[in-house]
Amino acid sequence: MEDIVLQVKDVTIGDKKSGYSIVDKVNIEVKKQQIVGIVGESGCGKSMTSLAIMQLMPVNIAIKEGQILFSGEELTALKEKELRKVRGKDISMIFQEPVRALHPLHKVGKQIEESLKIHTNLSKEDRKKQTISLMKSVGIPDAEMRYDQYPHQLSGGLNQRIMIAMAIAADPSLIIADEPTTALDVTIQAQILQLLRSLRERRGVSIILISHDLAVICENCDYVYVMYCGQIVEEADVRTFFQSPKHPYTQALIQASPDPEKKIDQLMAIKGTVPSIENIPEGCRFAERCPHKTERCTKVEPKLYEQNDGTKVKCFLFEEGR
Amino acid sequence: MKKKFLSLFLVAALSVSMFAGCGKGEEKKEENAAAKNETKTEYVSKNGNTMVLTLFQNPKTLDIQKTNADYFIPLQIYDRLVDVTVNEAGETEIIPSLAEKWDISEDGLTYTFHLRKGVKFHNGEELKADDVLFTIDKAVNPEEACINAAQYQEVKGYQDRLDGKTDVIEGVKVIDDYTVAITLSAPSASFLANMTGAPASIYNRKAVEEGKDKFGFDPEYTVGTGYMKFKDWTQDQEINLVRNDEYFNTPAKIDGVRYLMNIDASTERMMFENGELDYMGVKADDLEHFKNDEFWKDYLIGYQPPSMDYMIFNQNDTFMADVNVRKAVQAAINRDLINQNFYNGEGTLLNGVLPPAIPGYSEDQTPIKYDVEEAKKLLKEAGHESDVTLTILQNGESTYTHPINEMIQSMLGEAGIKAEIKNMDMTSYWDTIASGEGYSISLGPVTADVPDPGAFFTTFTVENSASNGYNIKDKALSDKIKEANAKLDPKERIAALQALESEIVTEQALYLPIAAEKRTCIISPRLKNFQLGWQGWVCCSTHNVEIDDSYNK
Amino acid sequence: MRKYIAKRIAVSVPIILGVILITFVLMNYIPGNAVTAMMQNKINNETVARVEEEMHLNDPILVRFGLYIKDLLHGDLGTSFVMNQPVFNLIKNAFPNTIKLALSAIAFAWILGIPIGIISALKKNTCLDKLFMGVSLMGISMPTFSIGIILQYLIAYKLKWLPISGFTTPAHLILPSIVLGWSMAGEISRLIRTNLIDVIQADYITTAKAKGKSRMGIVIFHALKMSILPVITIMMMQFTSLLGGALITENIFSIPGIGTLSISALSNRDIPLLQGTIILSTFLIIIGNLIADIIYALADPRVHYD
Repeated sequence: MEDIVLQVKDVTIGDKKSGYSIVDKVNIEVKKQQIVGIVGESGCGKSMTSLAIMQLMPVNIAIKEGQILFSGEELTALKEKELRKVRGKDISMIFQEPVRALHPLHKVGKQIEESLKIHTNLSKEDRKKQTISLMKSVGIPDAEMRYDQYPHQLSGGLNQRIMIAMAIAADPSLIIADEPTTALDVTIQAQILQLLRSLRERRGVSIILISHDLAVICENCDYVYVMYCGQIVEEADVRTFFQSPKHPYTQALIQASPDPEKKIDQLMAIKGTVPSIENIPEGCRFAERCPHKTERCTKVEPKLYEQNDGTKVKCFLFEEGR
Repeated sequence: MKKKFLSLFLVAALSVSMFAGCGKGEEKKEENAAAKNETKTEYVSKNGNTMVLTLFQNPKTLDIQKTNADYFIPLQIYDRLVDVTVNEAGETEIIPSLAEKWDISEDGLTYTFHLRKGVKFHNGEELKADDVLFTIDKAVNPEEACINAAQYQEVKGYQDRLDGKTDVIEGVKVIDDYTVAITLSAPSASFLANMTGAPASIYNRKAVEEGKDKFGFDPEYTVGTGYMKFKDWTQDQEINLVRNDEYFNTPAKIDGVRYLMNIDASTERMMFENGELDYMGVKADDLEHFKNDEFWKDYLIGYQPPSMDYMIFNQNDTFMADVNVRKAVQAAINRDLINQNFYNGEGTLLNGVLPPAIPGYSEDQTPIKYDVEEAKKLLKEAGHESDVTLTILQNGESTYTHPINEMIQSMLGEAGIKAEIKNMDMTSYWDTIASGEGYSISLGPVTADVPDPGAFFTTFTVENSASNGYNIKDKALSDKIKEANAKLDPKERIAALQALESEIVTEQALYLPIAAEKRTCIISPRLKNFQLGWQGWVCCSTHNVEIDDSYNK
Repeated sequence: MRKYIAKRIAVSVPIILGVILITFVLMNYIPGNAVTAMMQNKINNETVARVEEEMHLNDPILVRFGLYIKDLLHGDLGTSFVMNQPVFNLIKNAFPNTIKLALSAIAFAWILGIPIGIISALKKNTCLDKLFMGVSLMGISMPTFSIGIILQYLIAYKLKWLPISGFTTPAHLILPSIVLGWSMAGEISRLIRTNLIDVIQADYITTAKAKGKSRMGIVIFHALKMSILPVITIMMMQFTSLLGGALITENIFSIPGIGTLSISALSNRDIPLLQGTIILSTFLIIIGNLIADIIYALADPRVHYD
């Protein structure tokens, strides 16, 4: 049990005013030094789930049901003051567009230092020293000079390194990275992801890596959760996942990713659209778009059925657990 | 629901602000209604033994030869050779002031003034005849650029001095330390009366020559012989006067006078009721408020100043140049209605040239009749039945004339005369009057500052009317006026002037007198022995007024 | 940056000269001059002509303008036609009053406006927010003279809490500051509220939250700094325009400041004095603009001036 760093148990997240659920009964587990990936298209609820872990959701959104446990401690029961001790220290986050996620008027060095200021008792000089060493450790060249610069003076890649430095400053055990490389060039992407992976070895952190890009997930994660329309529809360890994807949605996703080896005439698109939160259908949420749809699928919601190879799939096709 | 409340609240706030916004100087109706039934139970003043008054505008300078903005303070800090008093019969009389007696030569040209001895200026210097010479010469010295030089225009050598042909004015001679002789270029019945006016105040040579530019501003050099001394002046804020204990006559009873400036009309009333001001002129709107107040009604004072409202007829205007049009305008104005609406019905309708209390004032003239039909008939005879358009020139600062002008406009309309009101700020107004262009008629007030009828009649001479708005062309009447005014015997002079009144007002219809308004003022309960000057000015009261200490905190 | 400032100051010189020239010319076309203003109802054309000569008011415009500029370059603002004192002294005496009034009005506006803006933004759409915004709107939309007269009547006259008018004690500053400050506070609070509401949605605010920063800390150090930038320009402009003289307020409360001085200069056609006050206001506005831009550049590192 000490092995499990984070447990998201049956968590439902909804809009306070309208009552609609954005995330429905989601279960996620992160083990020590594990990199867990959450993949899904835009609007499937993966970002919201990650924000919910530290209760960073927008004002009108709240966790309706479920618990979130961090090293056994129930985060959902914590008051704001106690949560602040967790944020940035035990758990930290990295966001998608680093230039926007950094304060335009504060020097980047100071922004990293801020984490140290909040969570440690280091003196001013020590903080600066620590910051510069952090900056170096995430691969920022000319760290002393960069310390005094502003986000708009740095490239996207450098800014993301700053964010990473900020995230590891207080030595967290879990880093949540929400689409950390989506806004970056492909070459920089690889560097940043490599950096994140290295953190696992050097510092022993666990990482939740959120992306819509299956390749990113494949190359960097140990375990994968697929989300569709607010629910987890498939979870498996990465190797098993890519060798034999089971859920019709997952299969369609993989098929839809263009393979540079194959020459095709048309890009495969999944027919239909994701249901909006106001119009969640009864039964399986993917049913309307599924080539294997049955009568039962539109009436009864399938559960997550565990398979022999350890995968869990939310589909009647796999009810028997083959 | 919340939105509705907010909008109701905003509407209420806006309505209140609109009420308040209706004219800066007018009273809000709410103020009147709310304060109407208020009874003042406790009147307290923080001003001690000092009387506090307001000044209409910052005086620009206390050198009264160089400004007409304020006569009030010069009347208190300086003296003149002679002064005015009102006798038991209610008539004005010239009495000695700095000159204790005077002789007039046989030919009426030379006035020899014998000055009082031992009169001290505020700087300790004694008054000498040389100071009189200096004062008069300063006024007409071209380098001084004094606008009130004309105060001494009757003195011999006036024009030559102004033109720079002489170094000193010829007509003033120092006989000895306490005797000065003033010679006129022609005999004048009004000379002595003119010498009572504020611009004839006597200065001290030493103070003025030492003070140079500071004279008029700096208390150290701006000295006179008056019963008050000029203490200090904070520009645009206040001027303080203090009692002159060495006054040659009975000194004042109060410690001093403070004049506050730039007090807005609505602020003035609040300050007065609060005990911060000791006197206030009461306008028509406020009269009801004070009359109905249990406490304040006893402190209202009604008086008849030597002033009147009248209408200038500008003969440079093509229509007003025609005597029939002028007579028509006279007939078209319902002065009774104006009296009812604007003077509370208590004004005295005038039909002559003089206001009440001026020597020569009489009420035996042909009354000007209000007759719209007659007006229309006169216009028709003049061939201007329906095409007369007149411009009423309005002085923006004289707010009381604004509603009267509107009434006049509609009255003229009923007679078939189209009139438009042209409003201007004060300086532009006077400039326009002086230029004689761009207007037909104008309503305004006049108050006599010397107790003499001359100026009222000479207004209608060709020379004077070129600058005062009338632009009269008739030389014959002009000459008759000058001749009558030059008579030396007071009775003959008055009779001759009076004889010309009907020609001026009725036959030639040179102007339209409206009314002499009975004015009201209100004083603080702490003032005792309060007496307005003969002109109705409060500045003169400061000499004898006393302050009841029981009201002071 | 230094070059930029120097350039801006250099440009301001022709601007001021231009303003002076325009005023000079316009004053000559308005009816009446200093002499007419002095004579008022005793006006007489011969006297006016004579005194005009004696005061050299009839010299050609360009000659007079040239002499004026020559004196100006020597630091001499001339002598008031009417008050016979150096214009510089008159302005020097009136300006401190205007400064006192401006400073206390601005202090009132900022001390009230900023917190109200912040509270309204944080408590968006609650009753408190609506109340604050309603009061701000009232301050902005009600004309100065109505606020002035109402407050004067209620607070000074009826309740007697404060003096009615005058400018001798610190208590005299309170009402006029409120009158002037209310609408400025309203502008500031509305602006801050809008900016803050936008800024709070920004990504970097979420980042700060994720770091574990306290709510107050976020508002003050992260959000406010961003929201206040555009407000700085407005506040500078408010301040400089107040320094030019708050005419109506000075009139209602009988404050002898630059506003009163300019109005009497105008009605007296006192050209040197009027020019003096105009030069002062123009100069202040130019400097105020420059300072606002400099502050903005210093505060926001993304802004560069070359």
